[in-house]
Amino acid sequence: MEQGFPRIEPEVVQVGAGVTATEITLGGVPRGAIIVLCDAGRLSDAAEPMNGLAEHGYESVAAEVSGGAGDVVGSLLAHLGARGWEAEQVGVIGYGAGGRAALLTAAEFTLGAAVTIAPDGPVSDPREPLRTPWLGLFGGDAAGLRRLGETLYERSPVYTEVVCYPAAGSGFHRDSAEAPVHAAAFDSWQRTVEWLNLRVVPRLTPLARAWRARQPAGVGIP
Amino acid sequence: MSEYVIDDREMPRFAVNRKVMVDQDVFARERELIFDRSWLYIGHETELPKPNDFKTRTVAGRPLIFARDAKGNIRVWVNSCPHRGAMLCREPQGNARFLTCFYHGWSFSTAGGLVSVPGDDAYGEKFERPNLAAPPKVDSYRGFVFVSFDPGIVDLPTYLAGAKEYIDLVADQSEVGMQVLEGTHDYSVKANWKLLVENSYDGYHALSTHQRYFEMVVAARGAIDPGALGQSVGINLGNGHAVIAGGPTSGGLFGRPLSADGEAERTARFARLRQKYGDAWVDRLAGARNLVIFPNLVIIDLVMGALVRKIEPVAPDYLEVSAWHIAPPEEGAELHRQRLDNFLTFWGPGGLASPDDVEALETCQRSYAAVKELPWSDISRGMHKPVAGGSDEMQMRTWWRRWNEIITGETLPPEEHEPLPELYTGQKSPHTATVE
Repeated sequence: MEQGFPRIEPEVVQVGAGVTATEITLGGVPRGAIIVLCDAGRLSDAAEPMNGLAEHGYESVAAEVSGGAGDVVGSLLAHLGARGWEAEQVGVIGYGAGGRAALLTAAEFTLGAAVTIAPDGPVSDPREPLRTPWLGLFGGDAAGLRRLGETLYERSPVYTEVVCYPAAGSGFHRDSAEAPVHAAAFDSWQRTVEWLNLRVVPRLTPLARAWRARQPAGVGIP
Repeated sequence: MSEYVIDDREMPRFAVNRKVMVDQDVFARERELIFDRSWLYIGHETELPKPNDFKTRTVAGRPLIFARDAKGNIRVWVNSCPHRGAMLCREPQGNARFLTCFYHGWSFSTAGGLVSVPGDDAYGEKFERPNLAAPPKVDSYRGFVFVSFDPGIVDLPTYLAGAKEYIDLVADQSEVGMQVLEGTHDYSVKANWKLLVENSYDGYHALSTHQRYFEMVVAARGAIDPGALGQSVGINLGNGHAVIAGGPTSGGLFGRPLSADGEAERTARFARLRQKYGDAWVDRLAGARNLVIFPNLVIIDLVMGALVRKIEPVAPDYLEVSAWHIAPPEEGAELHRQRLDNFLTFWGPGGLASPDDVEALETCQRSYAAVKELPWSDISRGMHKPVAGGSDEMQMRTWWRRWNEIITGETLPPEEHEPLPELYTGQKSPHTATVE
């Protein structure tokens, strides 16, 4: 993650019915908005990736998930919708249990992009086609996860990809002095940001909106 | 008479001046008169299975992006930022809804629209932002996607003329739609691009240049039926396109023997195709074909494997090739493995055929340094015959007459041969229709 930017302390907000979240909002015209899903009790861990996302122009809102994530994600999407974010301008990334939730979110919602990072325990097949382009970043058993990746790719109308870091183990995304983990942490964060940049629909600036309004219908639609 | 082509119907004799293989002015005229005014193959729709998949390709010297947009439409864009020109995509392939120029960060969607400009308030309110540029014409036939840089060109079906039927004969081999396999053979040849065009449907060279390949096939099978080779014919398909079409048993000439299971699976599929299309069409389907669509698309379908080859001229003495394998996706794993084996042992970079061709063409090109002492190459085989055979050169003369017409303005009439036997003209049963 890049260094040298001022650190933003995420603000605690209540979204929907009883969901406590933290949020980073940005001035100007932010690039997009990202939902960060975390393990229960690990909400404070989200501050680091949220700051990393802010460096790339993304607002973010983070919440804990355990079990069914649909309600939490629905509440967070409604919260972002109130700030003017459309579904395809929103990405979702999830760590641990949040990683499993990000995969289920990719099956339930049509968002800009989804990234699952180091889910705890076995990753179950959502048994449905994915509707959001999904990237799975895993430590551990590469063969089984690659098979899941192939299954999801074949089944889904959207693009999906699985990347494994077998040498780095399940904590690959937390930087460490160990070379394989350091390399995996760098690579996985870079892939996460690129996945979002390549797919989350950018919010248009006022000047870009005015220009687009002057274009003939159907020309250059994102 | 053209300074480049002798077309003497009396002797008869056909010859091409080797100057066309070395001359910079001829090369420049080809760029302008042929490549800027033809329909040119860029890729196959099945190479882009997902929304926002893209490939970067070079067509007629232009860097292009061959993409499927977020809504699933096939798109072709010039791979250059309209801002200052840097290449948007520097990867051979990928998946991205937004393509961002690494020079100043302008970003475009796969549908071609400008999406963001860093610090865009530094431009005036009325500033007209550019979208991506595209070739004026993009169209496809049976999944084969072509572009043209000539806005006034005839439509693609009219351009393809009789070649459509031979694309159909490839496309109809799958019950669910032929699919280009992942992976590309990219290679270059230090030779003029027209030499590889000629070579791609030169039946005469097969046994001499590819002796080792046929020895390997004979060793693997015990014997082959050389009569099948003699049965093939050369056919003028109009607009410079031509084909060597083999008889129904010619598909059995190439490749190592199939396993019993592989043979049974293929026989069962062809039996289903017979029910669907009728015997006349499937007899043609089962034969080999070497097709060249003017100017530079080659489809070689030897039934054991089918090759799609795009020839890109780079300089008078240098060409680049991109080649793909097209196959029925419903094929079982074992038959598919045998198909890949046949593909690689014939056309692969370590195969027994393509490297021989490269060697032959490169020696031709080197020897053309003596163009003044030895100016003419002969392409007369079969001119006097009632029906031009596959080992004759009518198909090449057809291409050269079109080339000559475009480059010099001289129109040479097509050769007169007897009508083709029914074996090469059979159509699908009337109750079937091709779905485009």
